[in-house]
Amino acid sequence: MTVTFDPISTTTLTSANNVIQVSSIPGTFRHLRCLLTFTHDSLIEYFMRFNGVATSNYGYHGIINSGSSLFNTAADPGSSIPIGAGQYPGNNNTSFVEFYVYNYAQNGPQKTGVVFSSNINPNSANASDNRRLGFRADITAPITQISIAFTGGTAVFLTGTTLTLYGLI
Amino acid sequence: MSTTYRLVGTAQGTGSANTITFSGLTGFPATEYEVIFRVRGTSTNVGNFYVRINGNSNAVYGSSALSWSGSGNGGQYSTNLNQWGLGSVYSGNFNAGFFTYGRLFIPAVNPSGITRPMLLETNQSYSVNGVIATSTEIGNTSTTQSPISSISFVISTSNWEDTSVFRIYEINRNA
Repeated sequence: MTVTFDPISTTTLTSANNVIQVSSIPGTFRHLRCLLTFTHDSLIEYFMRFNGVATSNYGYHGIINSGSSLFNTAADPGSSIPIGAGQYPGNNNTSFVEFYVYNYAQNGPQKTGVVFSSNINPNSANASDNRRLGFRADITAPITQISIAFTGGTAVFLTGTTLTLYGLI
Repeated sequence: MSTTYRLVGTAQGTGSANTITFSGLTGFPATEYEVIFRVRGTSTNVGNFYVRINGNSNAVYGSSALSWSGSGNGGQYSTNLNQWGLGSVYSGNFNAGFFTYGRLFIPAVNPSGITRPMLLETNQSYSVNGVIATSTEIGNTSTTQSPISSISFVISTSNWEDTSVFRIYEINRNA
């Protein structure tokens, strides 16, 4: 039977850190499905980048429900992809980001993908961050590294935060 | 051979029941559950359906929705719900073939003592009048939730037609 959905790697933080990253992603699949499950200590945004590229090589369009309002978000170009914003800090509230990167291993085309993310405060009607984005990355080389980071202040992902990569063919 | 993404159950409507339940879920070593569905109600009206985890009908659910109706965006937020999900089902005329397609994704199956995030994504297309409705519902269950042992889908205004099919897949990142 052909393997069509296979785990590539699981990265788990053993201490709090403002970034979680996976490197040396093998190019043996067609698409990537990635899942970040985490707890955190911050109310600020976190961002995603590929291959360490921090210049204006990204574009995104999306929709965000903050609980108190619904609004669109977009930038093109931008220096990163804002995939979510922390809400309800602490150890008991698990949030997640699910995203796909299509044709990640191809050498030549830009890379595209979609993001679903959830940061919900179960105790407050006006404190959540739920977003759905489409993105592009003007990176022609195969994607071999993904990093997700809080980029402001001293915000961190807490111990136990896990980033899992699956490969699809 | 990988068994990372594995079909572990299939359920079909009967036309006379408004609830479909996957029970006996064992969790570990599964790390995630995903239910893919194509559904329709028995009435000719548009109706909502919702999800219950472990049969829990207490006010332990929170929900944040994004939607696109073809004419505009919508969204809402609710807490202390006794059910979860607003994925609507267009029943339509039986012969017209209007189904709702979607998925329920639960990314953290096993831990207890946490709020448990879930994602419900539904898509519909009414080809007769050109209206498209999509909905993404992302929410939590409260800290009282135990590891997941059952997942129920309940349609609020009619029953699940016998053409409705749900398939549950188990994902094991440690496989």
